[in-house]
Amino acid sequence: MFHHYIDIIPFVLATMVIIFGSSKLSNKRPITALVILTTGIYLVAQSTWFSSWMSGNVWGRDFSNYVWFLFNTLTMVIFSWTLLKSE
Amino acid sequence: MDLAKIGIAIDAKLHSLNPNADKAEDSTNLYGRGLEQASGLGFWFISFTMLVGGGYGFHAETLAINNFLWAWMAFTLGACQIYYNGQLQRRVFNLMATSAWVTISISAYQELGGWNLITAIALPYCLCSFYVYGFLLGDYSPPKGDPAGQPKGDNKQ
Repeated sequence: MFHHYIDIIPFVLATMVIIFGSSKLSNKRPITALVILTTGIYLVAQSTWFSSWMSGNVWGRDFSNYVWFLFNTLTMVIFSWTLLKSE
Repeated sequence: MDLAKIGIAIDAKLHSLNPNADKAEDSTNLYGRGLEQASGLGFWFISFTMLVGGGYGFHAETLAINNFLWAWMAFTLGACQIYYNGQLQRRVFNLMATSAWVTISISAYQELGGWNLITAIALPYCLCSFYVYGFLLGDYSPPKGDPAGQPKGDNKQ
């Protein structure tokens, strides 16, 4: 059970990213907008999966896997973008 | 006290919290800002409802998200919509708000089996948020001519 509750840590971090990180949004660095949006998708993915798992909702768990897919894909896009733009 | 004055006082207080507030004090930039703050407050009400209301959200709700986590996310998004004035922040949070409101609207419709007050409130918020998002995507470069907006050339008198 505990190994699922440690998911609270990234969930809190993601909340901080959205609340405080949004002040760093910049038109010169459009990736920052993608970071905030992707973080929001992470919150949905994590909370959907966790709630579905807790309640035994198979449909919700499967659905949240697709949200995870979206988050994972966007994360890889951010990684690729960051690496390509680095000096 | 006049209700409008109370609203303006609250709005001014919230604006004073933001160090970048002065940059956004422009009639064009602030288009839709009131709606966003109302939307943010709406998310806080949704958050409150999720925390203390009974029988909504956990089992039949579309995304099957626990009430507490829904409340958490709604509060976060609401706080950001109320607080941030910047163009880019407003674009991002309007997009998020559109997604959230349409989710709330459809969830309430499914949960309650038809039209209801939450759906009736959430759906217009979804549409208006998306409209404002579209507006904010527009071109904000200064109009051609002098800074005051007066046309130059043949039209100059």
